[in-house]
Amino acid sequence: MNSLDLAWRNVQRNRQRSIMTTAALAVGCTAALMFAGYANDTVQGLQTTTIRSDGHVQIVADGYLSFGQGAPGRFAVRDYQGLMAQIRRDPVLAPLIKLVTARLDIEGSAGNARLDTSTNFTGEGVITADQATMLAWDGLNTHIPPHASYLTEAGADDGVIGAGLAQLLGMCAELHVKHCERMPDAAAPGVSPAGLPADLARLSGAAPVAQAGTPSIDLLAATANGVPNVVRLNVLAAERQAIRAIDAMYVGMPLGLAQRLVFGHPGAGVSAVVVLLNHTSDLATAQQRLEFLVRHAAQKLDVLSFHEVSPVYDQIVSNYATIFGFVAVLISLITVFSVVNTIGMAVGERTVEVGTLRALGFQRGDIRRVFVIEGALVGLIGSLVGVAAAFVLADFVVNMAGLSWTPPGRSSAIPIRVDLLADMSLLPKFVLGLTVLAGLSSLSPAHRASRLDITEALRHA
Amino acid sequence: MSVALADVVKSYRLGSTSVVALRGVSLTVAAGAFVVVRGPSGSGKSTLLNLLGCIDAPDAGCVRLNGIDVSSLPDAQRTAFRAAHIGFVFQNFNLVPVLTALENVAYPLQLLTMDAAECRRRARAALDEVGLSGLHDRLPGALSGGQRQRVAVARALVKRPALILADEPTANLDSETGAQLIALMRGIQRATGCTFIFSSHDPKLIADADQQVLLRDGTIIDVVRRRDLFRHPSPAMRLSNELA
Repeated sequence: MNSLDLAWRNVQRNRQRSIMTTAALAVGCTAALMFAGYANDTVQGLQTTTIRSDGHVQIVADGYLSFGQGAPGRFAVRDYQGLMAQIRRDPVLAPLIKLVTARLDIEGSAGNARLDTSTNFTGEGVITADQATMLAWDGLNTHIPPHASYLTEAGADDGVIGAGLAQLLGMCAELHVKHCERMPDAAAPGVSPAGLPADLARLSGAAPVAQAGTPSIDLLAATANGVPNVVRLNVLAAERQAIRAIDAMYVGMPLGLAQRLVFGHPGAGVSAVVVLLNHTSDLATAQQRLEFLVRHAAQKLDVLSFHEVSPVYDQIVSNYATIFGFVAVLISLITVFSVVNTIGMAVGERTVEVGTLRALGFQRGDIRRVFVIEGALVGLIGSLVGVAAAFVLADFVVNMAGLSWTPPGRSSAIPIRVDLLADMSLLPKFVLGLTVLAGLSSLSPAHRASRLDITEALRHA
Repeated sequence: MSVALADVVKSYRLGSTSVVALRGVSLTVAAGAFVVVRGPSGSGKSTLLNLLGCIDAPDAGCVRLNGIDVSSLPDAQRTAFRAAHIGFVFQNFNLVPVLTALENVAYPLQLLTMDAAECRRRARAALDEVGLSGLHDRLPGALSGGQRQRVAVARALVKRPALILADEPTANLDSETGAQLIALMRGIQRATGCTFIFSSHDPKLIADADQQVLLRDGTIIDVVRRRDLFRHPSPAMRLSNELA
């Protein structure tokens, strides 16, 4: 007769009470697992959208994160083409990498000369041929549909703008923007080039004339030398961005056009070399290798993961972890109270039995062990039932219900899913944790049983 | 196992009242004796057996078993002594309801670090010895009162203890079953030579004892050996017989 067999028989002794206790634990376990699975799926979705936007790793000039926004030319990576080639041919990185690309971030003023409207813009110059790969990355198998963008098909002077920016510049009609307020027609006539200061008139004249029927905007920004520069962007489409403030300022353009705006000519520099990996699990290895590669570069460079480039990702993950911790504490309290009550009642009912076993020669530790194993067994059964129920609920109810939501950072909805297998250690941790907690919860009533006076226990009615 | 009590005092608290159960009791029992402890309710019979069984410790005085002062041992050592040397038969059988007859008998053998196969072999032999062959796999709920008490006797015997204590072992049995149990216990005691001390009101059990200890109000008022019982019955014993 081993202790586990005896504990199993004793658990079945009061079947109704054992069922109620294991049911309480199972419900708590199921609830916690469902939340964890939902949080896993949400975080994976967030990571996917973050990486589609910023890549896994960015190599930037030293000081770019602190000062680059105000001086993109000064804090640009100069020999980015050489660096990209070096990364692509590196034997350690090559099998890990899906794409190496580049981007140039700029800010300035965008204007619609036709209507004499202008506003600030925040733009990104990208290698348009790489955008399809970036926006389709799904290394975490979230099955989130690729974000479609006209930028992937842009010509040298073409680009896209945010829907909010289109509205501010009065371009709703010509860009066929939905849900866009149109500017009233009565506007002051635009200033003719003849009325401009000489230097600005020269700049305006240098920009290519927009083809008739092609919507276009003028982008004005400070160059690397601090002097203003203007380029004309042919707007292919207005694409609504997820965050309203960004939507009112966004301009996406080919890298060459952005470089002409900032440096006066293409190829001069970028804000960041962006590395997209096949799998996020290779991030640490890739980052370490990249840091090694840039150590001896002519320019001092920083290697930043997406955690550092997009700190809001970690903040959201931390928020979910906090909520999950709160849920775990609640489940733990339910477990403790349920098991203490159940084992306590068992001790009361088996007082004579405890006295008998002590009389026969069982030590106090033997008595404690019997009840602790019983409690742990209740925890084990409850957690296993909870895991099974979570799988059924997740796979056959929630994931098949077709629910969806639009998370921050996206302009379109994604499915709501509960992913219990994203973190393979989650399930054994839950089972082990609840079993151990239930066992520990039994210690108090078990200790009380072991300290019973034998003569009084034998006399117990 | 020889038993010796010297000026043993034991009291209990019942609420705010202190009750003296034994008042300076001294007693000697030879090894291999079949001894009955008699007396009215509240005379201290159970307390005496508890002290002899190392289940409890005296407030004063000394309890020696085979010359070992067990009353001063710490709890863990007294428990180990019980596991190795003392068997118990309780009035209400006190079997573990979730264990079969075989498992109830084998369970205490685990304390003697015997392997499982040896435990089961000895348990089967003990059950056969008490006449319960074929009932090894029955749970206590499926056994009669007499059968349960036989299982309890087998459990007490299985480790071949030097001392067996039984508190009113036939109290919950009918007279015929009780007589059978008495005969069984006497036969086993003669065969094994263990010391058998029990409390009882059962006249048949009393009549078969080698030694009778008469308790009243926590003191031993008489101790009579069997050979003296018919030659010189004491006044106290006569009174006790009349009262019984």
